[in-house]
Amino acid sequence: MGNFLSNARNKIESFMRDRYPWDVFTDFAKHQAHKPLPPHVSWWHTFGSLAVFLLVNQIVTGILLMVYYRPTSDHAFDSIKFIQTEVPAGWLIRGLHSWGATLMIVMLILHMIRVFVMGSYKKPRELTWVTGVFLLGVTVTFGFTGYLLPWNQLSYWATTVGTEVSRNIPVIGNAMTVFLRGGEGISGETLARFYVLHVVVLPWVVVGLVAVHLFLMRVQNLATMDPVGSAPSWPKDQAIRFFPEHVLKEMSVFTVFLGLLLALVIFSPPELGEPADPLNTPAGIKPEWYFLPTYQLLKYFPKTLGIFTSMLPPLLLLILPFIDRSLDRHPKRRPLAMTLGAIAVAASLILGVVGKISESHVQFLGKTYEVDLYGRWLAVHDETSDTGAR
Amino acid sequence: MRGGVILPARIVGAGLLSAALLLPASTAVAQPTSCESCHFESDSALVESVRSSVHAGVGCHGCHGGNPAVPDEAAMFDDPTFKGKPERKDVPEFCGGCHSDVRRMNPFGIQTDQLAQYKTSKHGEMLFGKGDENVAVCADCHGAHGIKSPKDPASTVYPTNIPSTCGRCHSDEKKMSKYKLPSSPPADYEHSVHAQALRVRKDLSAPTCATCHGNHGAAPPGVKQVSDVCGRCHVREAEAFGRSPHAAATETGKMKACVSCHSNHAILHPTEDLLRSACIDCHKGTDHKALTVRDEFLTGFGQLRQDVSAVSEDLHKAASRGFEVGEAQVQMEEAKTALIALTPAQHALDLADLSKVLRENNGRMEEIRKSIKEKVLSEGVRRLMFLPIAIFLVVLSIGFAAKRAEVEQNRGRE
Repeated sequence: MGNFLSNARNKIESFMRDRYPWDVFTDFAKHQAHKPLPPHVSWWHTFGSLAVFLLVNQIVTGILLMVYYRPTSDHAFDSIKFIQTEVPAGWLIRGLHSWGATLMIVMLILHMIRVFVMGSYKKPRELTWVTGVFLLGVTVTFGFTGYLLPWNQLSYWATTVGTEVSRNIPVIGNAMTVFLRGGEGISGETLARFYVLHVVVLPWVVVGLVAVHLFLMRVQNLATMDPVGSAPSWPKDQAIRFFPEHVLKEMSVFTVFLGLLLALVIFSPPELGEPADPLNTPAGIKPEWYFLPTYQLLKYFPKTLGIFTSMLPPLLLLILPFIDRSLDRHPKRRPLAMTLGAIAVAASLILGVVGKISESHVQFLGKTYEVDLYGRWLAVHDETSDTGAR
Repeated sequence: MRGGVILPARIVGAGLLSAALLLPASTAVAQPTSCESCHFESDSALVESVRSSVHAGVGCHGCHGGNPAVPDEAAMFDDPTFKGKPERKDVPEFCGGCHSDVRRMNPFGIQTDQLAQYKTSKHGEMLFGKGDENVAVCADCHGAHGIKSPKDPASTVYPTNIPSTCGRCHSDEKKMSKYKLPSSPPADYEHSVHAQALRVRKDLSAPTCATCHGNHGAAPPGVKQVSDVCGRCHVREAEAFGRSPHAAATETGKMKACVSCHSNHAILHPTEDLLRSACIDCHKGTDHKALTVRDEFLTGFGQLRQDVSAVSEDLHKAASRGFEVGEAQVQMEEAKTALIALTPAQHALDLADLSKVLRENNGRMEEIRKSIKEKVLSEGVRRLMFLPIAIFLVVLSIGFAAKRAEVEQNRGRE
């Protein structure tokens, strides 16, 4: 068996070497595989590769879903139902795609937080950061366009609410909403547009951005914790080889992560819901979790001001490497940046939670509260206890 | 004196004519007739109401005779066809002059038996038989001059207006006491499920006074006809009632058919409470057989509703979670239909019917529960299969970590 494999390998190499500059390829691959990484590269550095794994998962499961999915308002829901109930392992493919989308955004956010904390976005890696911010934006757009595709009540009305936001943009707001929806309301036209964006346009954009991002990362190598401009302070013999050390670390994380993804698919499968009904608005429609902070933020500002306010955080993220000119990378030496970053994360979490529980009833310490649009808690009048008191 | 009336009338007429000429062709009004010219002066609202009525094209002379082409009072007094204002007792024949004429009514698709029907009504019997002029004549319900089409929401006989039109007299205690009639029905009706349908749901096919009592041939249905009258709409209930012991009781006058349980005008939405209370009104506590039937129905209904509601909720959750429950959903629809059908069927008071429905629905519920259980079980199998996969992945992860530690250790030695 060993001989057979060795012979086959030799024959292939000989075939390739006769025709192509084979050694150039192999040298490049070896160089990349054995490229030394800084010694501080830790488990935190695996978020990015997990995001790449999830991207591959999204592409593969997405292609499989496309085989049975029908992007028309008459058939979309039924085709998803068919995938979920009739297609062999359809539930698994759909679950991996649905949970994969959520986890991909989680991984990108964690990766971004890691890069921020370690100051890796600073010179000379500004463009790597910028492509990363664009990748996050494209991934969120992936989520938004994909959310409508099951054509169920939740997706239909959440998209109605989501696209309505664009109406508040001055001058072009109305035209932009009509363009997004393919008409005044969410219809089969919107579904077709979102489908084309989701399976044709965005995949190429994301693959292109990932290629540029990885290329820049490989060319410039991973950032160290040394200040900007200073020579690397770690001895070469302490470097970690990309292969096999770092790859083994990533494989170790990857297998656990795969287990987590499968557990989510099996124990919390994505719901099918009810078919979209444009004449019946369900109560308490909320956007997907990653839009909740923006959704809640928009409530506190007048329409146009709200749009500008909600555009501010992504804009700040984009220009962060150009406004943070300090040379230090270590978080301990960047107290202001760390404090502001922590406030931004906390604000997003708080806004997200408030957005989630707004316009609902919450039980807290044995009392029922009605949480209004703005997140204010109003005690619900309890008639029985009132009568009892009298 | 007469000249004093005529002069302003002429001025008004000329004014109307001038105004008409100034208006665009599409909105120009017809030239006023001599009737309108004079009567506009004394009662402009009267003239306007005729103009806006369904009879606008008929003209004053169409009902009252006379010659509108002749000016002034000559239009009335010099014309042999002039009838003037009819006496109250003559109003039905006055309207019937046209409305009983097939040749005249046929082009408009209007029936011509109103006068004949009126004569059979209580109103007609009192007017023509006893000379009682207090009873309703055509103009009391339809109006005299501003008569609107019954399809016009402003018409006094438009479905939503019928209760108040009838109520003008029938809620007048003084008027009704002369005939020993109650004055409560119009008010009672407003509390009924029928009025709810008419007022809240805007259902114009909902029953009003005229639906049960008739319109032109208005006559209260007798006790024995009540089930027939109600049964015109409530067909299944009437059919089931006909098979019940109550039908015989109605025949012998011991019961007032539908009215005994549902009342007549203040008919409320039937609930289980009605079943609890209505039976006791007639069947005293000692009538165990009747009360047993009632209790069987109450228990059966309760169980059926509870089962359908609970299983329906489970089914909804299962469908939402992505299980294929198409067949179970069909069975659930059948169960709901059976429950709906049992409401009219209960009027037969046949326990065999009830137990058949209960038996069939219990079978359906069992099958649906079983189907859901099987689906959930398949999810359980998935969960069970996850265990070895999880163990494998954890072992694999530990293996990778161990290999990495080994590689790093070897590198340290080097």
